[in-house]
Amino acid sequence: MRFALKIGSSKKTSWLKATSFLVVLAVLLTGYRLAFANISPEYLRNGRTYDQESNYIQWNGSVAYVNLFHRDSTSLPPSEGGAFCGSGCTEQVTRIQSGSSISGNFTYLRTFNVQAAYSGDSNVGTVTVRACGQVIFTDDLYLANQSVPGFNNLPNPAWNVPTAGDCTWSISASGGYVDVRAVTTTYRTTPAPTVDLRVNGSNGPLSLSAPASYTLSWTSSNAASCTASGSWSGAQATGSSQGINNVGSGTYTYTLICANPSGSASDSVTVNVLSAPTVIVNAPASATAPASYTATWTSSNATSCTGSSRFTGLSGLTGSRAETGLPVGSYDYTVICTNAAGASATDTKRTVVYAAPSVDLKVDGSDGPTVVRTGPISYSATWTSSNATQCTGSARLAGYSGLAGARSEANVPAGTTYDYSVTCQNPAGATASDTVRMIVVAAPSVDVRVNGSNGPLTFQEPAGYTVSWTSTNAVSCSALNNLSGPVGTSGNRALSNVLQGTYQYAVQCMNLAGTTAIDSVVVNVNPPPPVVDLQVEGVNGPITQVEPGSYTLTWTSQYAASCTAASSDTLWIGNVTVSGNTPISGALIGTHTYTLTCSNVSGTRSDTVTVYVIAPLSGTVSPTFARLVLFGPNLGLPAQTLTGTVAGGEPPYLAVVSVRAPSGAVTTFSRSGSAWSLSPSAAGDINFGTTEQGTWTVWADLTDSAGRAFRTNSNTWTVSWYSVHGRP
Amino acid sequence: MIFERKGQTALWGFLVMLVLIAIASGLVDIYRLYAARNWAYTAAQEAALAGASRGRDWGALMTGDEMGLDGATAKAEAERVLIAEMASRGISGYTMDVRVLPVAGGGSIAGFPPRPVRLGDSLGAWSSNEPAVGVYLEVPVDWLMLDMLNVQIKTVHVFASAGVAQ
Repeated sequence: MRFALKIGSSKKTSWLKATSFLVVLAVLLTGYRLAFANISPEYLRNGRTYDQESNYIQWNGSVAYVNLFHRDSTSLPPSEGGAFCGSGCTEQVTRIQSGSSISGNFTYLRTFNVQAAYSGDSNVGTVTVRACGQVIFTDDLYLANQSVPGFNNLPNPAWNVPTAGDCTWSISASGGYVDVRAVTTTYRTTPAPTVDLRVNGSNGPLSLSAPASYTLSWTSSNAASCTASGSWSGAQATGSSQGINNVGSGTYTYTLICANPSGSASDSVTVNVLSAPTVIVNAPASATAPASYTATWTSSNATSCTGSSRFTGLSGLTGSRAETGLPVGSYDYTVICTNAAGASATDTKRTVVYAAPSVDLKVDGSDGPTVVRTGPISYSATWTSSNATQCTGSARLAGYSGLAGARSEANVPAGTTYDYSVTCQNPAGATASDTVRMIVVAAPSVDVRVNGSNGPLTFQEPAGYTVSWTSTNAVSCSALNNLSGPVGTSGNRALSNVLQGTYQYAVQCMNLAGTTAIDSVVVNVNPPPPVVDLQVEGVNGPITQVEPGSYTLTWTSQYAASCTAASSDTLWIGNVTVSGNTPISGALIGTHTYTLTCSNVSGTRSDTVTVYVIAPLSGTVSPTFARLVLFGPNLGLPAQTLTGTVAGGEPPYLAVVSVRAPSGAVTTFSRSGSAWSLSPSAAGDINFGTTEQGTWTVWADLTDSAGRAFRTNSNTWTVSWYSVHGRP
Repeated sequence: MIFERKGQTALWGFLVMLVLIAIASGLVDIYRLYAARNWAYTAAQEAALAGASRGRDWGALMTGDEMGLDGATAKAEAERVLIAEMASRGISGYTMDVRVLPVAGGGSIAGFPPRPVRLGDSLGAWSSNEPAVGVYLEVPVDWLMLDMLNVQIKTVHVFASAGVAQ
């Protein structure tokens, strides 16, 4: 079949037959068309059968390439170094086994021969070369003394091809194998061909939109044959046209090569069948605020793209926009792309940015993440969500759903641990979870003792005792009130020299849930009985002052809780500070007793001071007779008798009585006592106070035992004769 | 001096005629009147001094009062002296009026003496600034010429007082 295909491909002689044959077998032999093309060169040229002319050679039977070392006058092709093989070359040659052949066809040749190797290998057979229907050479290639094969052109000189038309040729082996290295041809002389290929009458390039329909048309001169290549193929007439329809997008280059043995000419035309432009905008359909994403677009078959909406201002065949922190909203991304043919495509994507979902799970009102409570306890686990479309519970909330919900727990015992978890999702698929663990622990307890007692206790200052405490189910304890510093869950603390006061030693212990237990012991440390010292004017008294008394009471006390003042004169009464002073003024005559009584829980003590307030020293002196008769005693009338009194001050008193006669003479007399008299006999003068007419004056200078002095007012009496006289 | 004054116009006319008629006898009557008056005054003065002296109230003075007169004593002593004098002269028909101002500051007695007599600087109302005894004495007088004229009533009126100096 392959051979028949090769035969059918001859354009000069078998075009119609081959065409008919191909029409019949077109469907079944489509794959062989390619093979046929490979083995059906139109014109055989010079070259090795191994490579340069292999496409023009058809193998028939057992044919293979073999590496053969030969020594002859050939040369390797320039691609292999061009070495002359006079000293031997190794190259691939075509070995035709006995009974097999290689064949092909040619046209427009002037001469034709082949290179076959003479060899000393006894397996070499006879080669027979045929061309244009006749044997042009045959010979047994075995040479007994030929140690190294050597190729010769056979026939030599080359066989003159009798026709410029197509001929077939073949090389067959018989009686052994035949090694063939090359075919050698020379062509007849002719002008080079020309060809002009157009699409829709244009030399192109031409841009069309797919599906495109256009017409290829070509003309040639001096062409023996034309062959299409590129986007089309096959042998073509040397001048014709061809409609091409429904061409998909792509760049199509149509090449037409027209050849003759003198050469070839080619022309190409390019048709750009442009696919409709496409553009794809990629942006997430939804996102969660604050949304950060990149919206992109890609296009194909476009020459330009322009963005709008959120892409406004952007262009390019591809592009992107990075969004950062977008709030809730809808965002459109639009791109319009246009290709060279003017076709456009647009794409728009909308991204809806949803608010981030949130879920708030509270267990017993707490957000957790760990909630510790003291059991047994009844509580609820509740959750609420926002911006969510669905919520699903897990763990202890497995099976629960809904945007909000709750689960009630009752009498959960200590030692229980529950996990509650809820996950909510918004339309964008963003999720929010909240998990709370509930740990139910036992209630704590604490016992505080002082000297092993729960109290209350009473001590006397300075006191010493030991505070101890123990707890259960507590993780920490803290000291309260008068117990300070860090404390463990159990311990003790020795206290000494505790001064008076009421002390409360408390320890508060707490379990993991924060539940506290507190215990305390009250210790009363009483002070010694108070010590009271009350002084007046800085002394303990008593003191004496002259009316109006003015003095300062000063008192101090120790250990006193309160002090009360009392006095006989009510000038200092009531509650007073435990230490202080107070002035007293305006104390009247009398004995003033001031008592300070201070108390504390241990007793009451008092101190008293006395102040004697006396009247100021004073006195009087008076004559018994205000009027006396001069030397009255001589008339039987009395002489003067002076009397006086002394008051105030402090007895005993001393009175110095001064008597001044009308003449100015002063006579003094000493008297004593609070009441005294100076009679004529005491004065030693029976005419005392009557010896001169006129006004007598008497006064007394008084002195008390404290040295106070006082001069009395003076008094007078008159001594006259009281004469009788006649009146006119 | 105590002068008798009778202001009646008729009497004075009569006396002028008497003077003209009996100048000599008149001079005698004047003398006799003058002598009687002096004696009466002296007696009254003595009585007043006696009353004042003996009437001094020492007791009151000792008790602190100012020197005054014991009114009763003073009056009695003054009257005793007058009575004694009148008796020694054999005079009867006299009239005496003893008044006492006992207090230290004296005083005044209106309408005393009963007839106007010269009392110091004033007449008719006896007053004193000290304790005093006032004696009014009316003594009958024998006339020579007036008897012949049958004038029956003839007296002299005197007033004397004594005080206690303070």
